[in-house]
Amino acid sequence: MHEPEPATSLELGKRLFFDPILSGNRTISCGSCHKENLAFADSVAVSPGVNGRLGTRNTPSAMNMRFQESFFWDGRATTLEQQVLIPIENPVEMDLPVDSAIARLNTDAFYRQSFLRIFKELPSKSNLAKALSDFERSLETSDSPFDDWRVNDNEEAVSASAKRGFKLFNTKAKCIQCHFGPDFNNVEFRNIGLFDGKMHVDSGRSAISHRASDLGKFKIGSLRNIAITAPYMHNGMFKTLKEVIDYYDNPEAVIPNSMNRDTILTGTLQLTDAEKADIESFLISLTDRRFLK
Amino acid sequence: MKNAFTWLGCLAVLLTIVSFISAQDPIVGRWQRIQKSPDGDINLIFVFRADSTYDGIVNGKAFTTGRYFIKNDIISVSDNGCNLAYYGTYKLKYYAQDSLLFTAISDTCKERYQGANGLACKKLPKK
Ligand code: HEC
Ligand code: HEC
Repeated sequence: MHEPEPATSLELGKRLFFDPILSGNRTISCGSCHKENLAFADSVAVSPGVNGRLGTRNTPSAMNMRFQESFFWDGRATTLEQQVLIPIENPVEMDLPVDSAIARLNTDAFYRQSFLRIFKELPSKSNLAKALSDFERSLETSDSPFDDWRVNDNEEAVSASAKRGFKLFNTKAKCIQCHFGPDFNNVEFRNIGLFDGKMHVDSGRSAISHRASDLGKFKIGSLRNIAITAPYMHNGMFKTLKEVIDYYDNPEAVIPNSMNRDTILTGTLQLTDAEKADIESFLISLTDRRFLK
Repeated sequence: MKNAFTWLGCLAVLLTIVSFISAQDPIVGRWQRIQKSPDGDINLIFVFRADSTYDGIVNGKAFTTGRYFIKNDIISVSDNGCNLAYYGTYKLKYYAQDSLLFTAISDTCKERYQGANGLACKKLPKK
Protein backbone atom coordinates (compact mmCIF):
# COMPACT_ATOMS: atom_id res chain seq x y z
CA MET A 1 0.00 0.00 0.00
CA HIS A 2 1.49 3.32 -1.03
CA GLU A 3 -0.13 6.31 0.56
CA PRO A 4 1.36 9.68 -0.27
CA GLU A 5 3.90 10.85 2.28
CA PRO A 6 2.45 13.36 4.72
CA ALA A 7 3.62 16.86 3.81
CA THR A 8 2.03 18.88 6.61
CA SER A 9 1.43 18.58 10.32
CA LEU A 10 -2.27 18.00 9.56
CA GLU A 11 -1.56 15.13 7.14
CA LEU A 12 0.85 13.58 9.61
CA GLY A 13 -1.80 13.93 12.32
CA LYS A 14 -4.28 12.12 10.11
CA ARG A 15 -1.87 9.24 9.60
CA LEU A 16 -1.25 9.01 13.36
CA PHE A 17 -4.97 9.18 14.14
CA PHE A 18 -5.58 5.96 12.23
CA ASP A 19 -2.37 4.18 13.25
CA PRO A 20 -2.51 1.55 16.06
CA ILE A 21 1.19 2.20 16.71
CA LEU A 22 0.04 4.59 19.45
CA SER A 23 -1.54 1.81 21.54
CA GLY A 24 0.21 -0.54 23.97
CA ASN A 25 -0.45 -3.73 22.01
CA ARG A 26 -0.61 -2.01 18.60
CA THR A 27 -4.25 -2.89 17.99
CA ILE A 28 -6.20 0.30 18.72
CA SER A 29 -6.01 3.67 17.01
CA CYS A 30 -7.98 6.84 17.69
CA GLY A 31 -9.98 5.83 14.62
CA SER A 32 -11.03 2.51 16.23
CA CYS A 33 -13.45 4.45 18.43
CA HIS A 34 -13.82 7.70 16.47
CA LYS A 35 -15.06 6.24 13.18
CA GLU A 36 -14.84 8.51 10.19
CA ASN A 37 -18.15 7.41 8.60
CA LEU A 38 -19.97 8.06 11.91
CA ALA A 39 -18.76 11.66 12.17
CA PHE A 40 -15.79 10.36 14.17
CA ALA A 41 -18.04 8.88 16.88
CA ASP A 42 -18.97 5.25 17.61
CA SER A 43 -22.17 3.23 17.34
CA VAL A 44 -21.87 1.46 20.69
CA ALA A 45 -22.58 2.85 24.17
CA VAL A 46 -19.00 2.21 25.30
CA SER A 47 -16.15 1.55 22.83
CA PRO A 48 -13.66 -1.21 23.58
CA GLY A 49 -10.02 -0.19 24.02
CA VAL A 50 -6.94 -2.46 24.18
CA ASN A 51 -7.76 -6.10 25.02
CA GLY A 52 -11.47 -5.25 24.83
CA ARG A 53 -11.31 -3.14 27.99
CA LEU A 54 -14.33 -0.95 28.55
CA GLY A 55 -14.50 2.51 30.08
CA THR A 56 -17.72 4.07 31.27
CA ARG A 57 -18.33 6.84 28.77
CA ASN A 58 -19.72 7.12 25.27
CA THR A 59 -17.38 8.16 22.45
CA PRO A 60 -18.37 11.65 21.33
CA SER A 61 -17.78 12.95 17.82
CA ALA A 62 -14.24 14.27 17.42
CA MET A 63 -15.51 16.69 14.75
CA ASN A 64 -16.20 20.40 15.16
CA MET A 65 -13.66 20.84 17.94
CA ARG A 66 -12.29 24.17 16.76
CA PHE A 67 -14.69 26.40 18.70
CA GLN A 68 -14.75 24.23 21.83
CA GLU A 69 -13.17 25.52 25.01
CA SER A 70 -12.99 22.23 26.88
CA PHE A 71 -12.78 18.58 25.93
CA PHE A 72 -14.20 15.31 27.26
CA TRP A 73 -17.61 15.02 28.90
CA ASP A 74 -16.22 16.50 32.11
CA GLY A 75 -14.07 19.13 30.38
CA ARG A 76 -10.85 17.88 31.94
CA ALA A 77 -8.72 19.09 29.00
CA THR A 78 -8.74 22.75 28.01
CA THR A 79 -6.69 22.62 24.81
CA LEU A 80 -6.67 20.12 21.97
CA GLU A 81 -2.92 19.68 22.46
CA GLN A 82 -3.62 18.47 26.00
CA GLN A 83 -6.60 16.42 24.91
CA VAL A 84 -4.90 14.30 22.24
CA LEU A 85 -2.28 12.79 24.56
CA ILE A 86 -4.80 11.62 27.18
CA PRO A 87 -6.37 8.66 25.25
CA ILE A 88 -2.89 7.34 24.43
CA GLU A 89 -2.08 6.93 28.13
CA ASN A 90 -5.59 5.92 29.26
CA PRO A 91 -5.38 2.25 30.38
CA VAL A 92 -8.87 1.45 29.04
CA GLU A 93 -8.24 3.14 25.70
CA MET A 94 -4.76 2.88 24.15
CA ASP A 95 -2.71 2.12 27.28
CA LEU A 96 0.68 3.39 26.20
CA PRO A 97 2.68 5.88 28.28
CA VAL A 98 3.33 8.94 26.10
CA ASP A 99 7.10 8.59 26.60
CA SER A 100 6.91 5.06 25.22
CA ALA A 101 4.83 6.30 22.29
CA ILE A 102 7.50 8.91 21.51
CA ALA A 103 10.24 6.27 21.78
CA ARG A 104 8.31 4.06 19.34
CA LEU A 105 7.88 6.84 16.82
CA ASN A 106 11.60 7.59 17.06
CA THR A 107 12.52 4.02 16.17
CA ASP A 108 10.04 3.88 13.28
CA ALA A 109 11.83 4.95 10.09
CA PHE A 110 8.72 6.33 8.43
CA TYR A 111 7.70 8.53 11.37
CA ARG A 112 11.29 9.60 12.13
CA GLN A 113 11.63 10.91 8.60
CA SER A 114 8.17 12.44 8.47
CA PHE A 115 8.62 14.38 11.73
CA LEU A 116 12.05 15.57 10.60
CA ARG A 117 10.69 16.70 7.25
CA ILE A 118 7.66 18.50 8.67
CA PHE A 119 8.85 19.82 12.04
CA LYS A 120 12.61 19.81 11.46
CA GLU A 121 12.88 17.80 14.67
CA LEU A 122 12.51 14.23 15.92
CA PRO A 123 9.15 13.04 17.29
CA SER A 124 8.43 14.61 20.68
CA LYS A 125 5.48 15.07 22.97
CA SER A 126 4.81 18.57 21.67
CA ASN A 127 5.03 17.88 17.93
CA LEU A 128 2.95 14.70 18.33
CA ALA A 129 0.30 16.79 20.09
CA LYS A 130 0.60 19.44 17.39
CA ALA A 131 0.07 16.96 14.55
CA LEU A 132 -2.92 15.21 16.13
CA SER A 133 -4.59 18.46 17.18
CA ASP A 134 -4.05 20.04 13.75
CA PHE A 135 -5.86 17.07 12.25
CA GLU A 136 -8.71 17.45 14.73
CA ARG A 137 -9.01 21.16 13.96
CA SER A 138 -9.48 20.27 10.30
CA LEU A 139 -12.59 18.19 11.05
CA GLU A 140 -15.10 21.02 10.74
CA THR A 141 -18.46 20.48 9.09
CA SER A 142 -20.55 23.40 7.83
CA ASP A 143 -22.45 21.95 4.91
CA SER A 144 -25.70 20.65 6.39
CA PRO A 145 -29.15 21.25 4.91
CA PHE A 146 -29.77 23.53 7.92
CA ASP A 147 -26.76 25.70 6.99
CA ASP A 148 -27.89 25.74 3.38
CA TRP A 149 -31.30 27.04 4.50
CA ARG A 150 -29.95 29.76 6.82
CA VAL A 151 -26.79 30.76 4.95
CA ASN A 152 -28.01 30.65 1.37
CA ASP A 153 -31.69 31.38 1.98
CA ASN A 154 -32.43 28.07 0.26
CA GLU A 155 -35.97 27.43 1.47
CA GLU A 156 -35.99 24.01 -0.23
CA ALA A 157 -32.98 22.75 1.70
CA VAL A 158 -34.98 21.55 4.71
CA SER A 159 -38.51 20.20 5.11
CA ALA A 160 -41.44 22.09 6.61
CA SER A 161 -41.22 19.69 9.53
CA ALA A 162 -37.56 20.61 10.19
CA LYS A 163 -38.48 24.32 10.08
CA ARG A 164 -41.21 23.79 12.63
CA GLY A 165 -38.75 21.72 14.65
CA PHE A 166 -36.23 24.57 14.68
CA LYS A 167 -38.91 26.90 15.96
CA LEU A 168 -39.87 24.48 18.73
CA PHE A 169 -36.18 24.00 19.55
CA ASN A 170 -35.95 27.78 20.05
CA THR A 171 -39.17 28.16 22.03
CA LYS A 172 -41.45 25.58 23.64
CA ALA A 173 -38.83 22.80 23.87
CA LYS A 174 -36.24 25.17 25.44
CA CYS A 175 -33.31 23.31 23.85
CA ILE A 176 -31.76 26.61 22.74
CA GLN A 177 -31.22 27.64 26.34
CA CYS A 178 -28.30 25.22 26.44
CA HIS A 179 -27.64 24.23 22.82
CA PHE A 180 -26.70 27.39 20.91
CA GLY A 181 -23.90 28.80 18.80
CA PRO A 182 -22.18 27.37 15.72
CA ASP A 183 -22.12 23.81 17.10
CA PHE A 184 -25.32 23.98 19.15
CA ASN A 185 -23.62 23.67 22.47
CA ASN A 186 -22.01 26.27 24.63
CA VAL A 187 -19.05 26.35 26.92
CA GLU A 188 -21.01 25.49 30.06
CA PHE A 189 -21.50 22.25 31.97
CA ARG A 190 -25.09 21.42 32.88
CA ASN A 191 -26.98 18.66 34.63
CA ILE A 192 -29.88 17.32 32.59
CA GLY A 193 -30.80 14.77 35.26
CA LEU A 194 -28.74 11.70 34.42
CA PHE A 195 -27.22 11.40 37.90
CA ASP A 196 -29.06 9.78 40.81
CA GLY A 197 -26.15 8.45 42.84
CA LYS A 198 -27.60 4.91 42.67
CA MET A 199 -28.17 3.55 39.19
CA HIS A 200 -26.54 6.47 37.41
CA VAL A 201 -23.34 7.28 39.24
CA ASP A 202 -21.06 9.31 36.96
CA SER A 203 -20.74 12.62 38.81
CA GLY A 204 -19.18 14.35 35.77
CA ARG A 205 -17.76 17.82 36.16
CA SER A 206 -17.71 17.83 39.98
CA ALA A 207 -14.97 15.17 40.02
CA ILE A 208 -12.76 17.69 38.18
CA SER A 209 -13.86 20.97 39.76
CA HIS A 210 -14.46 19.53 43.27
CA ARG A 211 -17.53 21.75 43.55
CA ALA A 212 -20.73 20.23 44.91
CA SER A 213 -22.74 22.50 42.62
CA ASP A 214 -21.20 20.71 39.61
CA LEU A 215 -22.60 17.33 40.66
CA GLY A 216 -23.89 15.46 37.61
CA LYS A 217 -22.98 18.24 35.20
CA PHE A 218 -21.56 17.38 31.80
CA LYS A 219 -20.33 19.21 28.75
CA ILE A 220 -23.29 20.17 26.59
CA GLY A 221 -23.14 17.89 23.57
CA SER A 222 -22.69 19.45 20.15
CA LEU A 223 -25.65 18.71 17.89
CA ARG A 224 -23.91 18.82 14.51
CA ASN A 225 -24.16 15.41 12.79
CA ILE A 226 -26.13 14.17 15.79
CA ALA A 227 -28.35 11.89 13.67
CA ILE A 228 -25.37 9.64 12.90
CA THR A 229 -23.70 9.55 16.33
CA ALA A 230 -26.14 7.38 18.31
CA PRO A 231 -26.19 6.27 21.08
CA TYR A 232 -26.43 9.49 23.09
CA MET A 233 -25.28 11.16 26.32
CA HIS A 234 -22.10 10.67 28.36
CA ASN A 235 -23.14 7.10 29.13
CA GLY A 236 -24.73 6.25 25.79
CA MET A 237 -28.02 5.46 27.52
CA PHE A 238 -30.35 6.63 24.73
CA LYS A 239 -30.33 4.64 21.51
CA THR A 240 -32.29 7.04 19.30
CA LEU A 241 -33.04 10.73 18.96
CA LYS A 242 -36.63 9.85 19.68
CA GLU A 243 -35.60 8.50 23.09
CA VAL A 244 -33.62 11.69 23.73
CA ILE A 245 -36.60 13.90 22.90
CA ASP A 246 -38.95 11.74 25.00
CA TYR A 247 -36.51 12.11 27.86
CA TYR A 248 -36.44 15.91 27.68
CA ASP A 249 -40.21 15.94 27.40
CA ASN A 250 -40.50 14.28 30.80
CA PRO A 251 -37.16 13.57 32.56
CA GLU A 252 -38.87 12.45 35.75
CA ALA A 253 -40.49 9.52 33.95
CA VAL A 254 -37.07 8.11 32.98
CA ILE A 255 -34.91 8.94 36.02
CA PRO A 256 -37.23 9.74 38.92
CA ASN A 257 -34.81 10.64 41.69
CA SER A 258 -32.10 12.50 39.83
CA MET A 259 -29.93 14.86 41.84
CA ASN A 260 -29.21 18.50 40.99
CA ARG A 261 -31.19 18.46 37.72
CA ASP A 262 -31.20 21.84 35.95
CA THR A 263 -34.16 24.06 36.81
CA ILE A 264 -34.91 24.50 33.09
CA LEU A 265 -35.81 20.82 33.08
CA THR A 266 -38.27 20.71 35.95
CA GLY A 267 -41.72 19.64 34.87
CA THR A 268 -42.70 18.39 31.43
CA LEU A 269 -42.54 20.10 28.04
CA GLN A 270 -45.93 18.75 26.96
CA LEU A 271 -44.72 18.09 23.42
CA THR A 272 -47.18 16.34 21.11
CA ASP A 273 -46.03 13.40 19.00
CA ALA A 274 -46.07 15.64 15.93
CA GLU A 275 -43.91 18.22 17.71
CA LYS A 276 -41.44 15.55 18.77
CA ALA A 277 -41.20 14.36 15.17
CA ASP A 278 -40.57 17.95 14.03
CA ILE A 279 -37.72 18.39 16.51
CA GLU A 280 -36.22 15.14 15.27
CA SER A 281 -36.45 16.36 11.65
CA PHE A 282 -34.64 19.52 12.66
CA LEU A 283 -31.87 17.53 14.38
CA ILE A 284 -31.49 15.36 11.27
CA SER A 285 -31.10 18.52 9.16
CA LEU A 286 -27.83 19.20 11.04
CA THR A 287 -26.11 16.31 9.24
CA ASP A 288 -23.29 17.37 6.96
CA ARG A 289 -23.82 16.47 3.31
CA ARG A 290 -20.71 14.29 3.25
CA PHE A 291 -22.65 11.82 5.44
CA LEU A 292 -25.91 12.00 3.46
CA LYS A 293 -26.06 9.46 0.69
CA MET B 1 -57.24 39.33 -23.11
CA LYS B 2 -56.37 36.91 -20.33
CA ASN B 3 -52.71 37.27 -21.27
CA ALA B 4 -52.81 41.01 -21.07
CA PHE B 5 -54.23 40.82 -17.58
CA THR B 6 -51.54 38.39 -16.53
CA TRP B 7 -48.91 40.79 -17.82
CA LEU B 8 -50.45 43.75 -16.07
CA GLY B 9 -50.57 41.70 -12.90
CA CYS B 10 -46.91 40.82 -13.21
CA LEU B 11 -45.99 44.43 -13.89
CA ALA B 12 -47.81 45.55 -10.76
CA VAL B 13 -45.96 42.96 -8.66
CA LEU B 14 -42.65 43.97 -10.20
CA LEU B 15 -43.26 47.65 -9.52
CA THR B 16 -44.10 46.92 -5.89
CA ILE B 17 -40.89 44.92 -5.52
CA VAL B 18 -38.81 47.65 -7.15
CA SER B 19 -40.24 50.39 -4.98
CA PHE B 20 -39.70 48.17 -1.95
CA ILE B 21 -36.06 47.58 -2.83
CA SER B 22 -35.34 51.23 -3.46
CA ALA B 23 -36.79 52.10 -0.05
CA GLN B 24 -34.72 49.36 1.53
CA ASP B 25 -32.51 50.10 4.48
CA PRO B 26 -28.81 50.17 3.56
CA ILE B 27 -28.20 47.37 6.06
CA VAL B 28 -30.05 44.84 3.90
CA GLY B 29 -27.51 42.45 2.41
CA ARG B 30 -24.49 40.47 3.57
CA TRP B 31 -21.78 41.85 5.83
CA GLN B 32 -18.45 40.27 6.51
CA ARG B 33 -15.79 40.46 9.14
CA ILE B 34 -12.62 38.40 9.02
CA GLN B 35 -10.86 37.94 12.33
CA LYS B 36 -7.37 36.59 12.64
CA SER B 37 -6.81 33.82 15.15
CA PRO B 38 -3.81 31.59 15.87
CA ASP B 39 -5.73 28.64 14.42
CA GLY B 40 -6.58 30.41 11.18
CA ASP B 41 -9.07 33.03 10.05
CA ILE B 42 -12.53 33.31 11.53
CA ASN B 43 -14.98 34.34 8.84
CA LEU B 44 -18.07 36.05 10.24
CA ILE B 45 -21.01 36.89 7.99
CA PHE B 46 -24.24 38.61 8.93
CA VAL B 47 -27.22 38.43 6.61
CA PHE B 48 -29.77 41.19 7.11
CA ARG B 49 -32.94 40.53 5.14
CA ALA B 50 -35.64 42.93 3.99
CA ASP B 51 -38.18 40.96 6.08
CA SER B 52 -36.51 42.11 9.34
CA THR B 53 -34.80 38.77 10.03
CA TYR B 54 -31.09 38.25 10.28
CA ASP B 55 -28.65 35.36 10.64
CA GLY B 56 -25.07 35.11 11.83
CA ILE B 57 -22.70 32.67 10.18
CA VAL B 58 -19.21 31.74 11.33
CA ASN B 59 -16.90 29.76 9.06
CA GLY B 60 -19.93 28.65 7.07
CA LYS B 61 -21.89 27.55 10.17
CA ALA B 62 -25.20 29.24 10.87
CA PHE B 63 -24.91 30.18 14.55
CA THR B 64 -27.62 32.66 15.35
CA THR B 65 -30.91 33.78 13.91
CA GLY B 66 -33.16 36.61 14.97
CA ARG B 67 -35.09 39.78 14.21
CA TYR B 68 -34.04 43.41 13.94
CA PHE B 69 -35.52 46.82 13.40
CA ILE B 70 -33.91 50.14 12.73
CA LYS B 71 -34.89 53.62 13.79
CA ASN B 72 -32.64 56.44 12.64
CA ASP B 73 -29.16 55.14 13.35
CA ILE B 74 -30.13 52.68 16.08
CA ILE B 75 -30.63 48.98 15.48
CA SER B 76 -32.51 46.73 17.90
CA VAL B 77 -31.70 43.04 17.71
CA SER B 78 -33.08 39.89 19.30
CA ASP B 79 -31.84 36.39 18.58
CA ASN B 80 -32.34 32.79 19.61
CA GLY B 81 -28.96 32.49 21.34
CA CYS B 82 -29.87 35.24 23.81
CA ASN B 83 -33.61 35.52 24.25
CA LEU B 84 -36.05 36.06 21.42
CA ALA B 85 -38.16 38.39 23.54
CA TYR B 86 -35.32 40.74 24.51
CA TYR B 87 -33.85 43.40 22.20
CA GLY B 88 -30.34 44.75 22.58
CA THR B 89 -29.61 48.11 20.98
CA TYR B 90 -26.60 49.27 18.99
CA LYS B 91 -25.62 52.46 17.26
CA LEU B 92 -24.91 52.06 13.56
CA LYS B 93 -22.21 54.05 11.86
CA TYR B 94 -21.61 53.80 8.13
CA TYR B 95 -18.13 55.18 7.69
CA ALA B 96 -18.03 54.44 4.00
CA GLN B 97 -20.75 53.17 1.74
CA ASP B 98 -19.64 49.60 2.32
CA SER B 99 -18.36 49.77 5.89
CA LEU B 100 -20.40 49.54 9.06
CA LEU B 101 -19.55 49.82 12.74
CA PHE B 102 -21.75 48.59 15.59
CA THR B 103 -21.40 50.24 19.01
CA ALA B 104 -23.41 48.96 21.94
CA ILE B 105 -25.95 51.26 23.56
CA SER B 106 -27.44 48.61 25.82
CA ASP B 107 -27.39 44.84 25.71
CA THR B 108 -27.58 42.55 28.72
CA CYS B 109 -26.82 39.47 26.61
CA LYS B 110 -23.14 39.00 27.36
CA GLU B 111 -22.26 36.77 24.38
CA ARG B 112 -23.87 39.11 21.88
CA TYR B 113 -22.40 42.20 23.52
CA GLN B 114 -18.91 40.73 23.32
CA GLY B 115 -19.34 39.79 19.68
CA ALA B 116 -21.14 42.88 18.44
CA ASN B 117 -19.80 45.85 20.39
CA GLY B 118 -17.15 47.50 18.24
CA LEU B 119 -17.80 45.09 15.39
CA ALA B 120 -16.79 46.54 12.04
CA CYS B 121 -17.85 44.80 8.86
CA LYS B 122 -17.72 45.23 5.14
CA LYS B 123 -20.60 44.76 2.75
CA LEU B 124 -20.27 41.84 0.38
CA PRO B 125 -21.21 42.31 -3.26
CA LYS B 126 -24.64 40.90 -4.19
CA LYS B 127 -24.49 37.23 -5.17
C1 HEC C 1 -11.23 3.22 23.26
C2 HEC C 1 -11.92 4.23 22.50
C3 HEC C 1 -11.23 5.55 22.22
C4 HEC C 1 -9.98 5.75 21.67
C5 HEC C 1 -8.97 4.72 21.22
C6 HEC C 1 -9.83 7.18 21.56
N1 HEC C 1 -10.94 7.82 22.03
FE1 HEC C 1 -11.31 9.79 22.02
N2 HEC C 1 -12.86 9.52 23.23
C7 HEC C 1 -13.36 8.32 23.64
C8 HEC C 1 -14.29 8.51 24.74
C9 HEC C 1 -15.05 7.42 25.48
C10 HEC C 1 -14.33 9.91 24.98
C11 HEC C 1 -15.10 10.61 26.09
C12 HEC C 1 -14.28 10.37 27.34
C13 HEC C 1 -14.65 11.24 28.49
O1 HEC C 1 -15.39 12.19 28.33
O2 HEC C 1 -14.16 10.96 29.60
C14 HEC C 1 -13.43 10.50 23.99
C15 HEC C 1 -13.26 11.88 23.83
C16 HEC C 1 -12.51 12.45 22.81
C17 HEC C 1 -12.54 13.84 22.43
C18 HEC C 1 -13.36 14.95 23.09
C19 HEC C 1 -14.59 15.34 22.35
C20 HEC C 1 -15.40 16.38 23.09
O3 HEC C 1 -16.49 16.68 22.62
O4 HEC C 1 -14.97 16.92 24.12
C21 HEC C 1 -11.66 13.99 21.38
C22 HEC C 1 -11.38 15.26 20.60
C23 HEC C 1 -11.05 12.69 21.16
N3 HEC C 1 -11.61 11.78 22.03
C24 HEC C 1 -10.02 12.42 20.27
C25 HEC C 1 -9.26 11.25 20.32
C26 HEC C 1 -7.93 11.07 19.77
C27 HEC C 1 -7.12 12.14 19.04
C28 HEC C 1 -7.56 9.80 20.02
C29 HEC C 1 -6.24 9.12 19.69
C30 HEC C 1 -5.05 9.72 20.25
C31 HEC C 1 -8.67 9.16 20.70
N4 HEC C 1 -9.66 10.08 20.91
C32 HEC C 1 -8.71 7.82 21.06
C33 HEC C 1 -13.03 7.08 23.11
C34 HEC C 1 -11.80 6.85 22.48
C1 HEC D 1 -30.25 22.48 30.76
C2 HEC D 1 -29.47 22.47 29.53
C3 HEC D 1 -30.00 21.62 28.39
C4 HEC D 1 -31.22 21.69 27.75
C5 HEC D 1 -32.37 22.61 28.08
C6 HEC D 1 -31.18 20.73 26.68
N1 HEC D 1 -29.97 20.08 26.66
FE1 HEC D 1 -29.42 18.61 25.42
N2 HEC D 1 -27.70 18.33 26.47
C7 HEC D 1 -27.32 19.07 27.57
C8 HEC D 1 -26.19 18.42 28.22
C9 HEC D 1 -25.46 18.92 29.46
C10 HEC D 1 -25.93 17.24 27.49
C11 HEC D 1 -24.93 16.14 27.86
C12 HEC D 1 -25.59 15.41 29.02
C13 HEC D 1 -24.99 14.12 29.48
O1 HEC D 1 -24.36 13.41 28.71
O2 HEC D 1 -25.21 13.79 30.67
C14 HEC D 1 -26.89 17.23 26.39
C15 HEC D 1 -26.95 16.26 25.41
C16 HEC D 1 -27.83 16.25 24.35
C17 HEC D 1 -27.81 15.30 23.27
C18 HEC D 1 -26.80 14.16 23.11
C19 HEC D 1 -25.46 14.63 22.62
C20 HEC D 1 -24.52 13.48 22.41
O3 HEC D 1 -23.51 13.68 21.71
O4 HEC D 1 -24.74 12.38 22.92
C21 HEC D 1 -28.84 15.62 22.43
C22 HEC D 1 -29.20 14.92 21.12
C23 HEC D 1 -29.52 16.76 22.99
N3 HEC D 1 -28.89 17.10 24.16
C24 HEC D 1 -30.63 17.37 22.44
C25 HEC D 1 -31.41 18.29 23.13
C26 HEC D 1 -32.73 18.70 22.71
C27 HEC D 1 -33.43 18.23 21.45
C28 HEC D 1 -33.18 19.57 23.66
C29 HEC D 1 -34.56 20.22 23.74
C30 HEC D 1 -35.67 19.31 23.76
C31 HEC D 1 -32.14 19.71 24.66
N4 HEC D 1 -31.08 18.91 24.31
C32 HEC D 1 -32.23 20.50 25.80
C33 HEC D 1 -27.92 20.23 28.01
C34 HEC D 1 -29.21 20.60 27.69
